[in-house]
Amino acid sequence: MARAVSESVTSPRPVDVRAIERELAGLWHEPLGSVAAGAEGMEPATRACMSNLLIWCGTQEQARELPIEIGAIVERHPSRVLLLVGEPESEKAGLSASVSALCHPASAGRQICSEHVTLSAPSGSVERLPSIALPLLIGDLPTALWWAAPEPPTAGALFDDLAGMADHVIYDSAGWLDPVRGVVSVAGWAMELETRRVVSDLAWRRGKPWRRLVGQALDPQIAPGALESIEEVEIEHGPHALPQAWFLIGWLAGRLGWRPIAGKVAPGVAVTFGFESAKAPLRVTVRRLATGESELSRVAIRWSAKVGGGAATFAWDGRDRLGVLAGSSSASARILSVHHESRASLVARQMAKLFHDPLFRDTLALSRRMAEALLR
Amino acid sequence: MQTASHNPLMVGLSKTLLPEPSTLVIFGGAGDLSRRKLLPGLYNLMRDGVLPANFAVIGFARTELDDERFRALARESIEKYSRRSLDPDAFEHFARNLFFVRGGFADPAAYAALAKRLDEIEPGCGVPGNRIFYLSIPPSVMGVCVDQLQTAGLVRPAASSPFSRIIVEKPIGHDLESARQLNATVARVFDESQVFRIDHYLGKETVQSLLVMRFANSIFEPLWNQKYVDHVQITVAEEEGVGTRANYYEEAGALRDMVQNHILQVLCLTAMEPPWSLSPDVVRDNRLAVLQGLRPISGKDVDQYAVRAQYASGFHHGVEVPGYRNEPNVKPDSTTETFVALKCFIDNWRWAGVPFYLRTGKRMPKRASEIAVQFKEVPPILFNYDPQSPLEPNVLSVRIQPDEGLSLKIATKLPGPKVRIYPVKLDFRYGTTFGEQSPEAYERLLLDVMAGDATLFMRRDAVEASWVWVTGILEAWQEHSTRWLPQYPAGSWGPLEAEKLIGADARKWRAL
Repeated sequence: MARAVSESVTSPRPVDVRAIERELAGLWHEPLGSVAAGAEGMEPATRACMSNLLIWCGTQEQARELPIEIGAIVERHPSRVLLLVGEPESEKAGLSASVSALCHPASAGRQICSEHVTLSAPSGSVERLPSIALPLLIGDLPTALWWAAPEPPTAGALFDDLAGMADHVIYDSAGWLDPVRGVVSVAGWAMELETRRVVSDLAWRRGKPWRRLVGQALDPQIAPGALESIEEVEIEHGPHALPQAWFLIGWLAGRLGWRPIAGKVAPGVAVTFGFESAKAPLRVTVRRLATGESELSRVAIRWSAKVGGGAATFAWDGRDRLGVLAGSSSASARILSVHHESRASLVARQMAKLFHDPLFRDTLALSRRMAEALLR
Repeated sequence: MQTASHNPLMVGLSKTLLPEPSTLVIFGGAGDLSRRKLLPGLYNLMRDGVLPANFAVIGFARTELDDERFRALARESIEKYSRRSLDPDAFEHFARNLFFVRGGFADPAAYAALAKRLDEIEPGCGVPGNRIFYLSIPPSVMGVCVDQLQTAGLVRPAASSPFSRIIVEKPIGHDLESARQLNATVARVFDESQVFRIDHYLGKETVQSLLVMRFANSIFEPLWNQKYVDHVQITVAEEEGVGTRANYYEEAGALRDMVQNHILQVLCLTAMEPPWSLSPDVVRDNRLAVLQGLRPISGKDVDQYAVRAQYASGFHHGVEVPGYRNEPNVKPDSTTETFVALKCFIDNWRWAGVPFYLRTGKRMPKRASEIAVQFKEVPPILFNYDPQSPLEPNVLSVRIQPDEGLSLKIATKLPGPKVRIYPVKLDFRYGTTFGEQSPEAYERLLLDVMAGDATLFMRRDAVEASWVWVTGILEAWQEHSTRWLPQYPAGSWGPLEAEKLIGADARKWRAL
């Protein structure tokens, strides 16, 4: 959680762009000793670094939201953080930089610290940022690019340069204003980039407990024949959570061999898809709730009477419990304990995963086909 | 548990087994282990979101407690021993699933009451009848407890659903015969697949990471053999004296208490061959092969390969502490060893001729457990030409506790115009490299039992094989009975005899 972990933050120190590395080295000598070890009884600070973390923010306003999240990320995954901020409104002529240390208490009175560099660039200088960031990356460590802007990352000089430095590109499709076009746009580069870099969408990760629960509840030994005979799926989600619903459908379709044949949008209310499966056509409806959390709220799956018939409804049972709340009696026993994770926690956990996720790639490909079916 | 091959929706999801909704019945639920490790461990697992949402815990003991007082005891234990601080809301949720049944371990009525309570509790907690019985009780009452469980109809057959599993806490027997008896008693009621013999050392993060270090890196395994390794040292040092455990310890001693289980299990992981898969029985087969390859130490060899000693009075962190014989509940003429040093060999192709030095003791200068692999010296030319000042050998040390991590000692050149060699340590520490705290060993092991993964538990044959090896030493010590053991001052690294044991090979114990 994004608690105030970084009380021991050295004040950002403005520095000359060419002196960043030297200033960072200086942090670990005299000043940090007093700052990081400031709390009484604390041992001197230890620098820790598992990764480089490049963060892109399109505006200063977006960047203002980030310090607490960055503190939470480095508490879990100590990193050298390079926060790159665009300043489209700025009338400044050149780039500005600052350095600081983020420290959090660890066991035995120790403090673990991460380095934080902020680089801000007015619109005319944004393309210079990658060339400044590149030499600041610590060699031989994994580098993650977190695209923290609310717009989909789009292929272009800046993104290509930053992604080119990274082993891992992380973005979050939750909250995109036009997720349908966003999926098409991102899938365009992500499918190709995924062969060389690890690409992660936090919305995909948020859906993991749902996938696990659906997979377990519809297991052939618990609900025989259900997987091959699904006739209808209904999904309800809160505001801004359409991508998560989208991924759940794409995942089901990919794993169970459904082919999208039609799609229809009732703006702001529902999206309906028709799929073909080996046995029969099936229908998927995604409904947007006007209020509530920005996440999936309920998933109902009904399968054919030819195999005994049945239905399972998956929903939250209290804040931290996701369960099969109704359905065949054998499926109803399962409840997962699920922590609602902050965006920062998801980024930190995702940074530790350095392997490709073919399931995500397959689902993204199917999601694009679903989006294209809607845009036809 | 379903596998991906049956269910396309499980493809790509974690292949680790998931803990099943279960009820954990802790026999000895008000005891030291329950208070220090089990209750705080379960609470931490719940806080981490990895405990099944549907669970229940029943403490079973003779202690005068009821549900409310058991919950109060749990609260106090968590406040005192948990790695995560007590959150009132989280604890309230946790405490709702805690219950207590009072009764004697041999009392049939108490087991009938337990059965009744289980039937009442489980539907409300959403537990489908999966039950885990944790024997945190003395070995002398384990047999009767197991029999009573069966008589009360609380044990379901292997591979049935819902499941019945049993966790057997060490010591598993006092010697080979009693270990066999206990195993046989448990086997009368439980199938081996239902039995989880716990050695918490195997749940420690560094011990588990030993396999990762060996088999997920290409640079270590080629050197991990008699061609490159000079010797291996395994140390488990305890700061504490015998404390309140004298009644048990007087009968056990360091060889039974530490070597027969923890140290031999660590030795197995250090020396085992690469398993062909990580499935529980493959890993356990390979661990067993190490025990079977240990050269027996018995008869006259024991004096040459084993040292035992007792701590005498001394200073510990500047405070004077009594010697072992002056501790409460210890016989004034006790010959129970509080320190053991061993030199042993594994007679297989990989380790032929490589000595493994093992040592453990109480009242040592600090708490420290490590595995150190010392590599052979470089040839006596170039930088190592002077026999009067040989280069320090490379040492890879794996710190099990505290300050978990590993370090590699290498030779490097001191800055300056002259070539002067100096040993430096490349150091990796879990606590400062990763932001996440390691779970306690018991937490990992409890989850594994709920998931049915026995990889980190001791199989019956391995327990008996380790007793077979240790028995040779115990018998020789019994035959050569003595009124005095070598002494070492409390707060020291052991007796002179231990220095001589390793010194005879022109080697020395590591300073930890």
